[in-house]
Amino acid sequence: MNLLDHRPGTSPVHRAPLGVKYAVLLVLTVVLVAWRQPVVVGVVLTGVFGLYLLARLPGEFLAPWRRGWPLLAFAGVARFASGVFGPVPLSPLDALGPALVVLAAVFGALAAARLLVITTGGTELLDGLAHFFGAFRRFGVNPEAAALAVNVMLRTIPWVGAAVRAHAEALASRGLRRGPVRLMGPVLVATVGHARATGEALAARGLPAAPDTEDPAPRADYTRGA
Amino acid sequence: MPSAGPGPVIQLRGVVVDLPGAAPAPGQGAGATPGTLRILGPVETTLAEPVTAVIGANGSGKSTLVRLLNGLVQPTAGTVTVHGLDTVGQVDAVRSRAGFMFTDPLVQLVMPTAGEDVELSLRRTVRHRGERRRAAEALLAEHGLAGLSHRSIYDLSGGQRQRLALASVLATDPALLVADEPTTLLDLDWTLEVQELLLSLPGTGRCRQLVYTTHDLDFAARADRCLVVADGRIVHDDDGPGAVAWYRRDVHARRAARTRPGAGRKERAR
Repeated sequence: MNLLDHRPGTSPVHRAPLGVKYAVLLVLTVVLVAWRQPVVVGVVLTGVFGLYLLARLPGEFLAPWRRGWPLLAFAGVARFASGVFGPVPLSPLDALGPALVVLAAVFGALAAARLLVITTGGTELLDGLAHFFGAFRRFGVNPEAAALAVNVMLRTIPWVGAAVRAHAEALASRGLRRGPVRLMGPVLVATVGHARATGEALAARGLPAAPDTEDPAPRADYTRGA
Repeated sequence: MPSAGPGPVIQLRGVVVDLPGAAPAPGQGAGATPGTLRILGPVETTLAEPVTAVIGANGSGKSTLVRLLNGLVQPTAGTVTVHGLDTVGQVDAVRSRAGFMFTDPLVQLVMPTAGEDVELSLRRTVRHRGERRRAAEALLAEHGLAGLSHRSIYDLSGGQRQRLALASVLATDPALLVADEPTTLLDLDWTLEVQELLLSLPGTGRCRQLVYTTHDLDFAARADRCLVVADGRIVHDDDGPGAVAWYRRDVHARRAARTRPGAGRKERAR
């Protein structure tokens, strides 16, 4: 299963209004980013795990770590390096603490954000986003288009993962060793191709609907003609 | 079936499609301006039949021809009108009445699960979320996909995916359905299933016309009208069985000419 796939359920977390979910996510993330004390991060992490328990998905808590640990480890290493080589050089032992805290904070924020996505159905997410982007209508934003763009982006992440696997297999089948440099070019080209195809598919379905054309006028017009 | 008066028609008038930035390969023509490649045209035809098939070799311009009907490809010169609407100036109106089905359903399915994808098509016509969900469930059941609304599109079989793509397109109740090689990726059972469904569409609901490309000549022969496309032009225009018979003779004649001594690679490039 993919990292961001919807896990249907009937727990209080699943049933909570989307606005509440976003508010909780915002609070948790702000605390994690702004208040990087080991105790605070520990408490918030425990809270996030509690929410996973409440959603009856405790096994999912560590999934972002299993799938994305190189990225998280990189954040930790970067913080460690900036501690050791920074303007106020710390001993490696002293730099280790803040690095672990950053790692834990990023993981906590990721896990919380993921919980929101996997406990909310795609349609509800889309409606929520459209509602949110509605606030920017006066700045020329088409809420439906903006919401659809976010949704298509989320859906494309597993596709890119599949493209990486497919290209790695293609390389292996020709006896070539897979490596990030060899993979990057073809995967990038394939992704651009997929983006074009998706755009075409959306256009073919008349999506996103132009703003303020909620009335399917062509229908009435057609019955007159037939 | 209300079919009084002249039915809806698709008109292509002097349509040319040039692709920029490509040098013509052997056997291809250059476009009107230097540095362009002519991939279609000039094409002049009127389609009034309920079911029209388009056949021809790979790369002959079939897909380009049917993509014109939905405004996915815009003509470099000439005009395309679908049921009286111009595909350039009134592209939104054209797309709201012309559904398009791609060869690969995974390209077409935008939402993560089957039910949500159908709901996406219904957004414009059914505003209430609960109603929309029920309508989507009903549509899925109608297409033999009952109970799969929470299934990820990646976990459906190829046939189910194509069926879902079709359900999503039909959810918008198109007056014209354009299908680009709709059965190429399917096994025999699903191929026949999808073909029967497509051919039964014109005259049901709002649907009046079906236009499809295919390499399946038995499928093409069942159309009321069939266009044979080669090198970007319509080279034969007949009823389904007539055009298919002509196409078979033409392909076999070309192959025979190629294998004659003396006729070498140059001919093959055509």
